[in-house]
Amino acid sequence: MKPVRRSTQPTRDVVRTLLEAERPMHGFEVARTAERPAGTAYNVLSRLEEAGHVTAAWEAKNPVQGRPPRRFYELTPDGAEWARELLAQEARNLSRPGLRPSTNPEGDLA
Amino acid sequence: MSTSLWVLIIAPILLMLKKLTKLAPGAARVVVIFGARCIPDRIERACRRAEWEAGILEVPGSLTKLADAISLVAVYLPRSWARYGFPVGHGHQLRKAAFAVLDYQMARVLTTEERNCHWNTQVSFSADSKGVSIGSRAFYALWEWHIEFENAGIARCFYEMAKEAHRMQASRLILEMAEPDYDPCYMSPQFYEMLRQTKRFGCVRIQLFINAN
Repeated sequence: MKPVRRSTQPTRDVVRTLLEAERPMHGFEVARTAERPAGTAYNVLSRLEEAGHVTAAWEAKNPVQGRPPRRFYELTPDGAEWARELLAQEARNLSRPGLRPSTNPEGDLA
Repeated sequence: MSTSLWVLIIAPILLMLKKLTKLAPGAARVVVIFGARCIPDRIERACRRAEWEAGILEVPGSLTKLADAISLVAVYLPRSWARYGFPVGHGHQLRKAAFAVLDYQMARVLTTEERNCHWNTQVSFSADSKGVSIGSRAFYALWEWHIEFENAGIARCFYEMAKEAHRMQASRLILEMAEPDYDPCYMSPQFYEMLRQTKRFGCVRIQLFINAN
């Protein structure tokens, strides 16, 4: 089990999506909701799964004729705790004076 | 330009688009299957193939399916190769796989005893004596030459490792680097030098493991 050491913006977006979802979601749905390319979302999901923050389960065999079963992802209880901490840390970082986005339309140099 | 000429230009384009719209879902499926086949890890390959095939059907629109499939493969595969190894060439299917672990940071921070102890623990995961030999030679090369990762000397080290791996008929060389924030996708100069050297000596593939512990 490899802990997730780097929390990039796509990681946080995917984590937020999973945290806010009230049901397990499949990969493309996660990507669509997080507004990230599917390739990015799947990479993040792989890392989260390796770290044990996310579990994945296949849906029942042949739920729809001609379509392979989908794989649904959801945060584990520990993963949810980690996700809350990660997002809280992000919020704290944004609230620090030096990292707050500029509201000055002329830019920071004005 | 006369109207008939416009019709002659636009009509084939429209017909091609219509045809492409019909072919796009099938092409998207082919793209994701092909993409999944390029994933180095066998279990993940099977998993992703089924997952992507099912997922791409959920994307609305024919051309969007194809665009999503292409972007999925284009974004996912480089990262997947970075995690599991970059295929360097397909010319050889060598008989025996060797397993080598190089914990670079270990060489820098531990004492000799600690290093040997750690090294023995690492190589105990390997059942292949060739891998141990390759790994230890590479490791001692780093240790003795005092090669810093950021220095240009890394190319020389990789050169020696690749040469040794080739001599041992290793099919893969695994580097484990204890740089938690090091993303292999961004280490282009050193990494491509390694790839270049390895390709020269005919190794089948390199695996670069980033130790996140």
